[in-house]
Amino acid sequence: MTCRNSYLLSSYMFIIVIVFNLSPCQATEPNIPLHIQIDNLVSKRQSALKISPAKISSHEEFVRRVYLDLNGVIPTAKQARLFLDNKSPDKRQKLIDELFANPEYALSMARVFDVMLTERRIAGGGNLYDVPPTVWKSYLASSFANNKPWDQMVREILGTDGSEKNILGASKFYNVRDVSPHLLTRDIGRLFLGCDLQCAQCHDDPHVKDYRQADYYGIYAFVQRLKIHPLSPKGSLVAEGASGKTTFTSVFTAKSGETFPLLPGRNMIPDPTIEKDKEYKIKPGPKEAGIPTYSRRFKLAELLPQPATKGFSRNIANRLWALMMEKGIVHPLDLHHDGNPPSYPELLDTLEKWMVDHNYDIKEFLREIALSKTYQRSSVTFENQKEIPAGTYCVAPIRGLTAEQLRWSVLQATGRIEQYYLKIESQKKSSGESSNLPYWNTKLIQNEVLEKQTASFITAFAGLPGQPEMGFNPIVDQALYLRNNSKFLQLLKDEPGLVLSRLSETQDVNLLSEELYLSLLSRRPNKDEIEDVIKMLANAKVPAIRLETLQALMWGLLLSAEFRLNH
Amino acid sequence: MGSTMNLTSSRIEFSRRTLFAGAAGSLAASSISNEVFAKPVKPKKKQLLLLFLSGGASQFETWDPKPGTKTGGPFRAISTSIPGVKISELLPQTSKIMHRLTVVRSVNSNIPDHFLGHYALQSGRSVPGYPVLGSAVAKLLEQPDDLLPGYISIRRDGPKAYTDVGDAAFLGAKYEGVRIVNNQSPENLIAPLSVKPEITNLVDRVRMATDQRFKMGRNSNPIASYGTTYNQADALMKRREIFDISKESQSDHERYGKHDFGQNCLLAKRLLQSGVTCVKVTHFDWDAHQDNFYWHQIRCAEFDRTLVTLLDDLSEKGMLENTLVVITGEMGRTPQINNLGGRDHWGRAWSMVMAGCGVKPGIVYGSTNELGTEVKENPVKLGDLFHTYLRALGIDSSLDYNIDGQTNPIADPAAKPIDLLLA
Amino acid sequence: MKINPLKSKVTTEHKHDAPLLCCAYDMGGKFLFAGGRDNGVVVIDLKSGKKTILKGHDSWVCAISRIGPDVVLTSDSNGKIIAWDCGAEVPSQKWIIQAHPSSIQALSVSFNGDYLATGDRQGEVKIWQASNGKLAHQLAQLEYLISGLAWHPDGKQIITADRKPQKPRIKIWDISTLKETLSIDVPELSGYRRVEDIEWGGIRFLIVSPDGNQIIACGRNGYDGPACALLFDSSTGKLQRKFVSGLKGFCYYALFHPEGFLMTASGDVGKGEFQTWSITKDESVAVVSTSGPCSSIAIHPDGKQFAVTQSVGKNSYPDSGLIVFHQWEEK
Repeated sequence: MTCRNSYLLSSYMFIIVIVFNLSPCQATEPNIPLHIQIDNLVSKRQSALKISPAKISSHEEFVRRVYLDLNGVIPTAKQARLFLDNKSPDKRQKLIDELFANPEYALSMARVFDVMLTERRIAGGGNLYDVPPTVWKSYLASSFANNKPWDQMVREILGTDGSEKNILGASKFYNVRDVSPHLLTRDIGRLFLGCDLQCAQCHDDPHVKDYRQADYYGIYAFVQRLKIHPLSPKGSLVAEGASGKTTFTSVFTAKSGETFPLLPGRNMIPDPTIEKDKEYKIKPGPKEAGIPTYSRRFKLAELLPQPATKGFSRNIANRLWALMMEKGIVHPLDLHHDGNPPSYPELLDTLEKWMVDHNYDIKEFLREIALSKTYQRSSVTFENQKEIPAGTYCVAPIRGLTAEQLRWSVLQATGRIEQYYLKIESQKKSSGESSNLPYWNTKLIQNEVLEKQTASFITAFAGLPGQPEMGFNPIVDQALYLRNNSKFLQLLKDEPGLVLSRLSETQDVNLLSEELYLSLLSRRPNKDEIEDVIKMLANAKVPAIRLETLQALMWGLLLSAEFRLNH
Repeated sequence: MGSTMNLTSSRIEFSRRTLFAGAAGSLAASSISNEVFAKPVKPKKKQLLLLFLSGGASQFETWDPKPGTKTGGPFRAISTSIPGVKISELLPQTSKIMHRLTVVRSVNSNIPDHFLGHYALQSGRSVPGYPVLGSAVAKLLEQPDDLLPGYISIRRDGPKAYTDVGDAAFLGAKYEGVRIVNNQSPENLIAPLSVKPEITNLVDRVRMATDQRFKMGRNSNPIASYGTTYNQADALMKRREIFDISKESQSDHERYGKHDFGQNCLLAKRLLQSGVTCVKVTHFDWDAHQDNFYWHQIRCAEFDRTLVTLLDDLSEKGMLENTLVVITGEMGRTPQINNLGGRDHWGRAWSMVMAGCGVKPGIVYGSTNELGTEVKENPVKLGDLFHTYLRALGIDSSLDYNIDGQTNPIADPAAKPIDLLLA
Repeated sequence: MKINPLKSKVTTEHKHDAPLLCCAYDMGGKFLFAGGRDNGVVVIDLKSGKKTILKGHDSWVCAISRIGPDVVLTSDSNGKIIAWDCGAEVPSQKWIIQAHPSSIQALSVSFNGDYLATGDRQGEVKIWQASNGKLAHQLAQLEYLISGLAWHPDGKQIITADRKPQKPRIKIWDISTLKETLSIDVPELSGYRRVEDIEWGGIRFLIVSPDGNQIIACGRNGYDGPACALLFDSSTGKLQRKFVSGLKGFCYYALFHPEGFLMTASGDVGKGEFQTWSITKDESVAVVSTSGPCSSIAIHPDGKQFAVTQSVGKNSYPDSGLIVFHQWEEK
């Protein structure tokens, strides 16, 4: 920690030095902080291509972007004002650190990884054999609250059978896929290694020469013996048999193969010889999932999350980069292969190496990206946007809010989050109750009420089950939702403690406009905008009409592209 | 309505006035549209109807029967209105109108997968990122005065796993298929009564003024395509009666069939008649890994009668000559019958059918070998079919899209149209 | 003379070039009839071992049952039933009826041999006179595929199984009134999947015990198995026992031996088994594994031999069939 602080203080100096003495070897020097390595690489490419980057983002752009990325929600008017009025030169870094320290960091990351790892799938048996969403989310949130390294998370997710109390919920990855070996094989490849081996199930992929049938069945062999054990007294568990060969035949060449478990870039793992009748530590039965003496799945959990497994480190580096920068350096995120090279190979190499050197520290990695100038670029540029080549990062991308970010941001903009938590606070004071759960955990449970209020958002804005989240792709159904849906309009109603009621109590139009714009767009209104508000309110003297007009103002801003896009 | 107003000079009274004018205008517009509705669509506009047999229909139990062989299954082949051509006995009605269909029996897509097959079928490519057929045709046949969405996809609710993997890709949201689920009008088509029109008007003014400022110096594509969705929403709200199949006659309901597919096809006809460029109807549950023959009896029974009704109706209304009807799944099913009496995913040799605009009726193109395991003559790729659809609709498939300075071939340059199929 | 139901041995095998689904002996024990995924009816002359293929069906032969002294019925996927006269050296057609417009999934003969009942894909159940193939009764249409039919030994009731999604049903009908007297939901045998909105499981076969007190429904427990047969009390509809196979696939067939024990046939990908049960015990008393999925069993009228039909082929694609004859050890 101390080390990091010292280099930050002198970060400007560093940049000057580095820019002028740039060489590839220095750029990947391990003791140079990652955010500076990123900026150096990016500016090297920009100057090579003679493109000048956009300015650093305004504080207004920055505060909205960083809240959305790190806490999954826009700031309140109060939070935005506090940041904008802060005169301290290191206020961005301080805000970044604050946002990482908030319980919202863990909760928001849990939402992101829930969508990434389940892809909004619905288990075949509905909720019957699946891990309940809260249990899974609290596993994720607790992992992020404790900044569990990624390799450890993957080890837990792939290693658990669903019975370990301390990581309850981690088996969701298996359960939501009905513990179906082919589905698991595909998604282990896609989500943990960045390779969609699907076509290689039946034959070597004709379109992607890197993907071979043997790779597919190498992973398949790890999970082939798994099945769901629904009748166990502990609920449904992931059960593993002690035997089963993995053979495959190409539908093209009719050539057959047999394989033992195999991870890309590594050696085949033959099964040990086990004496007859000693195949199980615990024999499976109708009421017992059973534990084999030798578990291929434990091997998978042990060996996959290691730097030696091709794609493991690169995948997570690329995915976290995409989380902050809209797209992966390899994009789509699950198509790492020769035909789809990274837009900036050196940059991805650097990120991957950092991940390995820093034991897959997710929080620190995101923090480094957030600190970089590359992340902090403005989305405003007067360059011709169409001529900017990919991977130059000379202007911030305009990204759509995810369904989850949108839901929480609408709740925030209307003041419903504050209102709800103030109510809880006052109830707690009067009852004197206190909980010994960690703060994130209390919030996770309390947030459910707000989530229920906004469930229709997810239906309207979420992508397809089993599909990765796509970029910003607005559709007319969503516009209709935001115009006419009664559940959405319910959120805009006037209630004590909400932004609308605060606005209606404010008589000074300047103050009112400022509160309005800070609440919804995290910035102060400009002169024209204040003028507009004045004009609109000029004839709305009757209180009921004034309230309606204010409501329309809020609604209009909620429907604006500026609200819908992270920029 | 509000789009022509200048925000800074407008006042509340003014907006009210325009609003009333606008309301009257929209009333007038809807009565005109009703009138237009009674007549056929304006001539010459070409349209597309995709009947998508989701999950992959078996070619053996439909268009390419192999009775009495090891792979043929239990059903017989029956004669059709094309001399010498037989199809499965599960399609008795269709057999009588075969002379109006264009059958391809030699599709080799080589993609035994729902997602990839569905995408490749609809985009004519295996590389991701291209617009699907409905979106592409909506864009390519767009006319300046089109108000309705160019592409509407009619489907069932429930897990979305097997359907609509594609989207408008780089064409933008305007060409994204509007989904109609369970024959319900798209949700949220009616403004709640509690919202006064002047409020809606104000909301639009604020939104558009904010977007105008936000666009300055920024990449305008996402901002513009977001704005477009609101215009589309307006257009849909004004003409929502086009989704209302209760306005269709009782006898049409009867003859199309009361099941989902019948009702969906009736709605598809209504939408095409209203001027929507592309409609896709998804007929579900062809993925018969188990009990293939049982399921194909059920699926085909629905499909057979409704297809014939639909084609008759389009033809009677003079619409068929301007509407290309494409009937296909995302793949075929294995010649081998599995231990559960099912047929599995298969992309190497299967069939699809077209009718109507731009295609030569009454022909059977390509063939498979005796057991249906390989294409014997005239192999066809999905990319070739994609070119063929566009050509049938009068679109030069060798052209490029030019969107924001980026050019992209509208159809895979490695494939080509099948001239023998084109009228 | 009694047999030992726990011990049997294979006597002979007959190969066929299509997977086999059903079989039956004629009353006189002269022939074994078998049918499956082709249009021929396989007849084995038990004395000479000679195999004959009978023609007449133009679709798959999905069910076979003996009826009366010298007659065997075969039904197909096109709704046709043929009655074969077994009096002569080679069976010959006695009558043919086009019983249903769609495939016949279930066929059952009354205990006295006077009637047969058939059920089809559309949920129609028809009762015919055995002597001439004339329609005698018809039940109200059940909407769902009729996947099993069984006569009560009293001859006055008939039991149907249908494939209602999520809740396959067993229904008991009084033939004199054609009214339903009991309906049992069997969700245990549902393999319903929301993804496709299809019932992939269902009751695959249905029988009644010789005393009429129990009903046995065959199928698979849930979407993923195991194969199993369920025992219900026919007066209360209560589930009394589950006979669970070691296989994941389906239990396709069950029948009672005249000495009272129960046999079941099950199949999975590339393997099968037939099991022997006492209806008072959860665990089977004998199990024989086979190289291919077992689809049906027939017990010779002498009670000492039986035949099992199987599918044979690579992985999940059977392309031929096998009839295996077994003999029980005598006690």
